[in-house]
Amino acid sequence: MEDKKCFSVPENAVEVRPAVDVIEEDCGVKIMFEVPGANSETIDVSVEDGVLTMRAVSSLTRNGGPICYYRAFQLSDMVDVAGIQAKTQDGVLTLCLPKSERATVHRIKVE
Amino acid sequence: MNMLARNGKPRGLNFELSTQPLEEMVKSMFSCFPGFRSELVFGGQIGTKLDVAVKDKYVEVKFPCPGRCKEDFEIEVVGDFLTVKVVDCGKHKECCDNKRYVIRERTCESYEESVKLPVAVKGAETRAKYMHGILEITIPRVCEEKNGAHIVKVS
Repeated sequence: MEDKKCFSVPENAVEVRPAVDVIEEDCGVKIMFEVPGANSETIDVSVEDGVLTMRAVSSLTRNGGPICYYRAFQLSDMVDVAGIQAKTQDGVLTLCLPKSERATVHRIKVE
Repeated sequence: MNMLARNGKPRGLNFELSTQPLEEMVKSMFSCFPGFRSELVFGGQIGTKLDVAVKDKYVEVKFPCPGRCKEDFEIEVVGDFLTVKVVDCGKHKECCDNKRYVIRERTCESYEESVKLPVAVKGAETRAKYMHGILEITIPRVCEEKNGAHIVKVS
């Protein structure tokens, strides 16, 4: 994830809670946000104090203001924050949260 | 393992201050009363996904439908009525079946909505494109004759 210090949400934006799927996989967790009208330039994902925050400004409007999708999740310390990857396609933002080294299962053979 | 919770806290804890859950609750409580319209309470047009805007020379319809492909859409214009159908082309369902969902809020089910357009349109010249999860339909308007004055000479 890159730092986007210039990201800003318009004052008249209407906040909307996007639908998400959270899918557990062998190598980690995948989160898919529905953010129609947003693209990589208007999406901001950050992790601070263990909280993953997603903001996305859409080209859609409601009540005269642009729609701003917002959602946050508490992450466990089993997530490798530095390895989080994000991509967007067809209005769906997909975050891949890999497991940290601590979370991997080490099987020890008993002799 | 739940990676979104720490020490057994609720899964998917979030902090948003959205009115959407309240809107859904009010709709479910009062929708049985005839004449109830949730848009009178919250504003906007809840219940329809088609956003129709009339421009000078065309009608623009936006339909947010993320995570689809253009083959999923069927668009019909009959007279002044526009119908948009979203069908599952198959690949969504296949990839949904074998996943371990912790939270599942998105849907890939079929959807259909019709709307009466507020002005006369040329349905045969309709154009549509799907980008960033939004289906944008552009329908040219029928040029209306201006109600100008007609001077009639008496012969």
